[in-house]
Amino acid sequence: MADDAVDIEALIAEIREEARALRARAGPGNVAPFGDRAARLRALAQPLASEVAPSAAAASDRALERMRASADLPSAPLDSHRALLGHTVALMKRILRRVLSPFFDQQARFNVAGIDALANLARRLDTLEDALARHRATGGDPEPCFDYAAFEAIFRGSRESLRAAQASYLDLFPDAASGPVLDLGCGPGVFLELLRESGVPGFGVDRCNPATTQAALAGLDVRTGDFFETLDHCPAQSLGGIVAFQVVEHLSLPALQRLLRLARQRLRPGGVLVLESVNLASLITHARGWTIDPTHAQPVHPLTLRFLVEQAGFSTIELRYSGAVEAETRLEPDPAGGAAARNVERLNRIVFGPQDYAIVARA
Amino acid sequence: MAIVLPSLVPDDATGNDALGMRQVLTDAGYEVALFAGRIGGDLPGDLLAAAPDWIHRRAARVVYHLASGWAAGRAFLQRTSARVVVRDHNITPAAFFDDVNDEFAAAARSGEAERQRLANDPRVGCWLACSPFSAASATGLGADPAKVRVAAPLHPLEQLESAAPDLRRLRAWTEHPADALFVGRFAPNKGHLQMLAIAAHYRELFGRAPRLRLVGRFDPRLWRWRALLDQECTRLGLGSDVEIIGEVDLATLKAAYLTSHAFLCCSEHEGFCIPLVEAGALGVPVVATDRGAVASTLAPDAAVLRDASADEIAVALHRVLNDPALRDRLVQNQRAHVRAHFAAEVVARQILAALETC
Repeated sequence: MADDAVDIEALIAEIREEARALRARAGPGNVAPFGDRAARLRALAQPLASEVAPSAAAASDRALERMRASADLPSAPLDSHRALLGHTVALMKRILRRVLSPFFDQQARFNVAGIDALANLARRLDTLEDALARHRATGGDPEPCFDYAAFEAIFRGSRESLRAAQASYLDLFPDAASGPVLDLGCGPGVFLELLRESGVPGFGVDRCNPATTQAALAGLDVRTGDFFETLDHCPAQSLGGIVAFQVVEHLSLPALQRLLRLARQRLRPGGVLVLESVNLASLITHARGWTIDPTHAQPVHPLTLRFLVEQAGFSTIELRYSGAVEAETRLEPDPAGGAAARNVERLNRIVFGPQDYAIVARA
Repeated sequence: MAIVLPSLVPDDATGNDALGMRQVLTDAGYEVALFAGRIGGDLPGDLLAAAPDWIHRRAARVVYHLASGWAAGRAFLQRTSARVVVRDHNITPAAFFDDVNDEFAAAARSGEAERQRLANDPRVGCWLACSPFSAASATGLGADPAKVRVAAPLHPLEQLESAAPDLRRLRAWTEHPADALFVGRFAPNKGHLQMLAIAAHYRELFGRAPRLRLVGRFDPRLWRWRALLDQECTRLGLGSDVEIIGEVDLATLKAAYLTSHAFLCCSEHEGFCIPLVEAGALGVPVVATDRGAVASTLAPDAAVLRDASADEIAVALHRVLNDPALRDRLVQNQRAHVRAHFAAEVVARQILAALETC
């Protein structure tokens, strides 16, 4: 054997012996076994359930303890008098329920209305406090107002071009049974109009602006208000679809995550979520759609949105690209072919790729 | 001759092999065209559809890189009359991705099915495996042993050898060198969990945990796997002893190798394992477990442990960290092995010899 060769068999035998000796000296060891890999992965998919269950059980135990203490019953004999009094008690319960039900229902409605009113007041108070803080921060000068409706009317594209672009999503809602579809940020109601023509029920929500008023006057179900409030008021698993065109890039990350969580809860199993945004992987969007709108809050890369959507519990997620750059803007191919033509094609793909993408996911 | 592969992504083993192969064949006087289904990873469409007709003709020869299930590739193979050489990069078994990500599991199953089908397709003229392990597994699936050749993947090792390290990282990591480095994507087959267990056992036997530095690409779709690793770090109390670095550029990778005392590889499945070659070339001694192609990529007298417990691997790592003579011999042997078997000109000769006898 050469001088620098390693007698690997001898080395491994030494290592095994040393490990045995060290373990004997260190004791049986405290490294708990890893456990069932599949079970641990599945538990990660449902963190809330696993976290909530033990605390709920503990709370239930504590409540039982309190009940026992307040009733002071541990020493009382637990004899049943059902045979003697059972029928009379059941009859009295039925009569009382019939008499008192209207009052209980009324009380329940009042409680719900009271809770809603308090929540609304809290939200309004938060808004006012924020506005006051901003007002103080700017030295008391009124905040300049950005007229987004006017901006959008100029830069969002013609109604015809929007119809053509959004019609490509109609295949996701083939018939009336695939509705109702909620359009978040519906603007002038282009997609709602397309749905109506296809016989699919739908409604939209957006801030109050001339475009939504016009859409409402055209007979479309357009509501004004906050996305989250609208979703909050939809019953669980009541929607067949939720669409949001060019909306997610206006939201902060926590707001986007909240939107996805709510959407997942409000869609029925198999319901479709469509989120369209600016495709920043196509470099021309940095000189166009992305920078032109000063209200964009943060870029949302297609893969980031896909990750967030998957994390929110959606499945069968698909990425669709649209908004091809017009031929006169793209680099002209070199008719001679060769490396120059291939480079032009490569540049066209990177710089002038599709300007929009949409995540299509199912609940 | 045409080289066909599903996607051409920067710093990807399959892409590097395909680009290297194009260079080798061009230098040998072949007319070579390369067709990738996708370029850059997330662009839409499948570019293979735009390939010219000549690659379907009987006179053409196509080197088909098999690294995943690929519908357009399947359609191409059904249509073509060209002589097909399958360049087998091996497929990570789908079972690793069960409970982690359905999409990855489905893609791996599709790849496994495609590999099985191609291994039994009489129209495949030659099977070019990237390691003896891949070759054995292909013949196990039914590939004709007479058609199977082995050639390591082409990898721009010289770029890493000549790259300047990132100075900021080099300074920081020189002050806090890694006892054990691992380079490889964060995926369930890469043995990260085993490394964490070994670190915990090491702490029990030697009184302190080794500093683990884990470098590699992380696909957000595998978030569940990453979350499990984080959870395991916390459970084992390894918080400050494990550094998860994520994907890095060449300069940072160089700094990582230069500031690590050892390379620990516990991968459960490898078709070749390029980081072992990089570690060998840059003088980082390797401690590894014998799974997949790991042993065949390392020198015959490398510190490869078969059926070893976490205690034994921890002791092996401790030996390499604390025995300078052993470390030097392992480094010299691995460096010589890399030069002899995986230098660019050596692999180029292997590939040309294999293709010329197909």
